[in-house]
Amino acid sequence: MNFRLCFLIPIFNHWKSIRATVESLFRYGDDVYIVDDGSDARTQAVLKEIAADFPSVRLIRLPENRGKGAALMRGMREALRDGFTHALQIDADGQHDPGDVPRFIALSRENPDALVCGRPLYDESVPKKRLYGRRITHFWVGVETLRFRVPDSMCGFRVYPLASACRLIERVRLPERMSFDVEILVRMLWEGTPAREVPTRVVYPPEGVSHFDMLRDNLGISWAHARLFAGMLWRAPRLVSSKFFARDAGSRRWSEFAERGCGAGLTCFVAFYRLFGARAARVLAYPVVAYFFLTGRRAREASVAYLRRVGFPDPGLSASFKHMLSFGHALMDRLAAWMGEDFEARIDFPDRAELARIAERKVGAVWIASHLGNIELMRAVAAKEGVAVNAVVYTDHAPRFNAIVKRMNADFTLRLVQVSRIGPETAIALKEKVERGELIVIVGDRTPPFEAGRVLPIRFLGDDAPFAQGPFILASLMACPVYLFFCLRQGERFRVHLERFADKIELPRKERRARLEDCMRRYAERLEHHCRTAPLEWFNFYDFWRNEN
Amino acid sequence: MESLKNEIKKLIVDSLGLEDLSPGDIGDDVPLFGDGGIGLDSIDALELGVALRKKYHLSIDSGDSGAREHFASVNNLVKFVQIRGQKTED
Repeated sequence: MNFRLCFLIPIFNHWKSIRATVESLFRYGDDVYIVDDGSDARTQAVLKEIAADFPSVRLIRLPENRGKGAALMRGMREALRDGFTHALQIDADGQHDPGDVPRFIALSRENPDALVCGRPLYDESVPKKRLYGRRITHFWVGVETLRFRVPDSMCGFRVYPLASACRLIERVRLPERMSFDVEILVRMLWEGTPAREVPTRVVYPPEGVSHFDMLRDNLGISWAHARLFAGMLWRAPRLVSSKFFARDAGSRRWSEFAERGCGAGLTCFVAFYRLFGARAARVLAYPVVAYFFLTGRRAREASVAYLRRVGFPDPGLSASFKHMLSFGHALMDRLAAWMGEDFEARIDFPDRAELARIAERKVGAVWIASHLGNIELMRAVAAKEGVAVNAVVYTDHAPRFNAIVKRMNADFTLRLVQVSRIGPETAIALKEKVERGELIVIVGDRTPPFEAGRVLPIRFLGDDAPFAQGPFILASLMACPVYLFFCLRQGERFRVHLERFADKIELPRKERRARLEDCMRRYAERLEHHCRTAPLEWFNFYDFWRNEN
Repeated sequence: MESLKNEIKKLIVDSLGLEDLSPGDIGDDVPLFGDGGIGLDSIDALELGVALRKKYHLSIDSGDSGAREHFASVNNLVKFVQIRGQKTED
């Protein structure tokens, strides 16, 4: 692909600094587009002089002031028409450091499809009010694009790939004023345009004129966010799937569906939690749940069918919404726990002595957990007793997930082991952990999407359902005490049950199937018992009884 | 070397209860896991890992990112056991 870059400067009455800005760019390239957004006579005169002095400068004039967005769009269209592939946007007021231009160009050349954004490093000259607005905007862009690390959305120092930018401009109406910078970035990310960043020092010159109108432009930006947020909800599945499930976005697997929810929730939540605290963050459960409820027909149907089985009174749509909302709250609790919130005071744990025994005997243990209530609290509970927890999980995204959580909370100590990556070395490592007295936790009521043959039909809530053998085989191989773990939310409190299951599960080859079946039946009975006590707390939103084989 | 090889093959067949396979059927370099080889799955992997550990007292350095490779085939296992294993008679 050929690479032709021009500079693009929108200007409105910045006559003092424009000549210096333009001249400083000539070191890196000749082609400069200046779009005069209806400036006053004085600025016009300066611009005319510049255009006369430098034939490679193209001056475009908008007869009246329409806003930065309008000026940029006009400039981009013209540049594309003149055969340029990229436009480097830089402000006229001298707040951007032209010394960084070569880094923008180099990065853009390496990543011609990407939007190259400046990430401002501010000095003390920046007005506080603008920093605050910037933080909020930054948060919203994260929510809207469902990303953790979002490129800076307000910095007007960036390189646009013109073909994709102009395609967007022709298709959707973008705001003409200050919110343009934000909106075009969000929309380009939606379209799948990659983003790259260049850290750059931004200075607010002492006598500089900024055209950022506190009221009008903040309102404009808020309105833009409201629209973009709605747009995000609409696109959430695709955005998340493109992020987390690039390999098979169309799959119907529950294991992916669940993590889809988790991905979206995670991103919103972390930002919200940091800005507004735990309580406010729980409010996020509502839009997220409403979204799943409205779009997830399969999940809704599965929920209603389950509620009917478990004997929930009036198992209709409203019950199903409650069921999902309960899931949303559990998700929030789980995230809060990851962020380091202390649930200790809200936990009732009558079997605490049993845990103390595990800690004391140092023989390790396997806990078989369920998608019932809040599994995450086990970590908090066990950590209090000084027992290390290793969770065996079905998600393929464990390393990424670990990294995210670690970033959120440096004290996080849960170690995740992926089922799909299990090799003999994993078994050896797990065994070593048990021998050190650590805990292995695995869920018993989830069928891994692979190795579907390793299931047994077990009676659960009235019918046979395929339960995975894996957790029980794992428990037997660890040759240590086995417990069932349930943690149910009761209003604002949690009740933890730690039930002794076996001192050791023995599965001699000859009687293996019968013994396994026996174990799994006992587990299913306990799960059923707790499901009947807390019907809205079981979170498997797919047809659990469907036999896929 | 040859005897260790056969011992490991026998251990694979016995510990996993592979009734339709005899130790001699396992090629030295055939991948044990995944498609296109013996086709052992993750539960087999768990069982095999525990059996190997029991017999040879194998341990894995937590920093060893290439640990998986040691178990990829019989030949790799032989090498690994020779370096890291301590045989126990049973």
